[in-house]
Amino acid sequence: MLRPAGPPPPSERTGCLGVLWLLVKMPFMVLRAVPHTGALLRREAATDSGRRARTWEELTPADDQAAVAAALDEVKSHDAGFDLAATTRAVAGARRVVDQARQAGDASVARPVLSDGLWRVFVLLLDERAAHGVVRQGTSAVVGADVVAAARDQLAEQLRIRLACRGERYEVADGVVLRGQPGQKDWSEDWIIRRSADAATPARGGVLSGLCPQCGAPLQVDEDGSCAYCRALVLSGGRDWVVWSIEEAPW
Amino acid sequence: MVIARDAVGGILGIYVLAWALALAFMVFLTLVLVVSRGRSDMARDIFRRAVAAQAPRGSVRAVSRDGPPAHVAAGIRELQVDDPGFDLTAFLDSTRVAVGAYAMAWSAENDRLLRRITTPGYWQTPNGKAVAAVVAGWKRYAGGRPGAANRGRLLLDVSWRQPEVTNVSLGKQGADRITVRLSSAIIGAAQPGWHPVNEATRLDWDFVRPTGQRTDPAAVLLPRTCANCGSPYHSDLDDACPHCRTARPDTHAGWRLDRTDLMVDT
Repeated sequence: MLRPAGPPPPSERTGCLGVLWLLVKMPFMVLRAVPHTGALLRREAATDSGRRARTWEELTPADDQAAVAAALDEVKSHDAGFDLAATTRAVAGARRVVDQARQAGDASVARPVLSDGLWRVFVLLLDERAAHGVVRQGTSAVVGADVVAAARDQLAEQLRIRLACRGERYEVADGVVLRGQPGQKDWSEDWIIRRSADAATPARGGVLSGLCPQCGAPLQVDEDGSCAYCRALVLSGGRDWVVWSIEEAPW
Repeated sequence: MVIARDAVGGILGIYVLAWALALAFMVFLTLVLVVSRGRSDMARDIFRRAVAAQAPRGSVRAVSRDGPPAHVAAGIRELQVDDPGFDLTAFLDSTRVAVGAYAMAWSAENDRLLRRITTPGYWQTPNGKAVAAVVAGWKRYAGGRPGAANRGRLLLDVSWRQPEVTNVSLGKQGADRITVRLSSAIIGAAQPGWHPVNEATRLDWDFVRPTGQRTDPAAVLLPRTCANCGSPYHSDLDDACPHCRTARPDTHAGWRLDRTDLMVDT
């Protein structure tokens, strides 16, 4: 970490002189890291890398179906307008929108479906990808959806919807495949939607149906997350379901 | 002549000593990597316990396998009484930005966003200093090169798992504090050859704000235009208005990252 990778700055010497100079200064460059040994060791102890890190990305095991059904009943008892089938369809639709944004490298496409915080990180990552020329290739579709976890407490409701996806996905930079591989594959993604415990499905439909949960207008969201018509903040999860997290198994 | 010879000999001696120390340090780090990243879970556990035992106060916390303590829910309710606009879903959502900013600083060596959302005290904590050292290492290396981005490291994705509030403390030393524990997986790539760099870490994230501050339900997470002159910001990373240089306001209802504690299984 303390020895960053990347091409050398233009001010550095080149050729034999450069190699000689590098040899001269190398031990001192290494010794410069000595004061940071403690931090390096702590970080190493608290971090899993490589293959071990990939296991952290595995999808969370599905909850017991009876527990999921009970939690969904609880959601319905509090919100008579809640329609599970319509919600899962809407999440599949949100995935299409996010996929489109990734392909185009244009985060604004996904603004109406992602929670405020998730969208900001999404913008950050797309900027980072654009700076390095990373391109996402392939198309895929949702072929199934299942609620694998549901929870409701005094503060919030949350559903984990596992989408079965089929298609092709891989990412390339400088002609190198960074993730995935060409060819048709099947995989699963968990899309977690969340809302405050006192939120209820608006009569005409809400964020995931493309309508403002506050004024009912067709959802046009400004970049700050507010409805273009009534200025209500609609993507904080306080009023309606929002896509709160996207989890993908290693690929 | 003798003095010159002695001086040259002295310099060579120091240089040889420097090489010896540097090689010893590299061997030590290699051994650490072999133990820490090897196949043996037992060796890794011993290493983790040893590091956790020797870590200075305020840098590492042992992982508790219990759920969040009962006082957390009560603390959040108490906070909501004082601040009716506080919403846990929105708060946790905004903490995700800190995770992304931390990943950008640690993996891509770009700390601009992290600096905007942290307290000055964060940079005095052991883990704040470690992040600062990583970024400073890059800046020293990059020298006068234009642009802050490290072209040799790339952040592909940041995954954020199982956030849970583990502590709420209100009014202590004039501040409200919420601790969020979560796992984050950073998926990246590095030159040469864009080889994969995957890291997964569990941390406690402490967010603070002055006691008495309230959430404005109408305040957006990130304003897109300057409140002073109306000019649009160019990107999320802009710290000030590009036109009138007015500082960009705090965007997290006053909550700022004050410290991170690495979680070590012991």
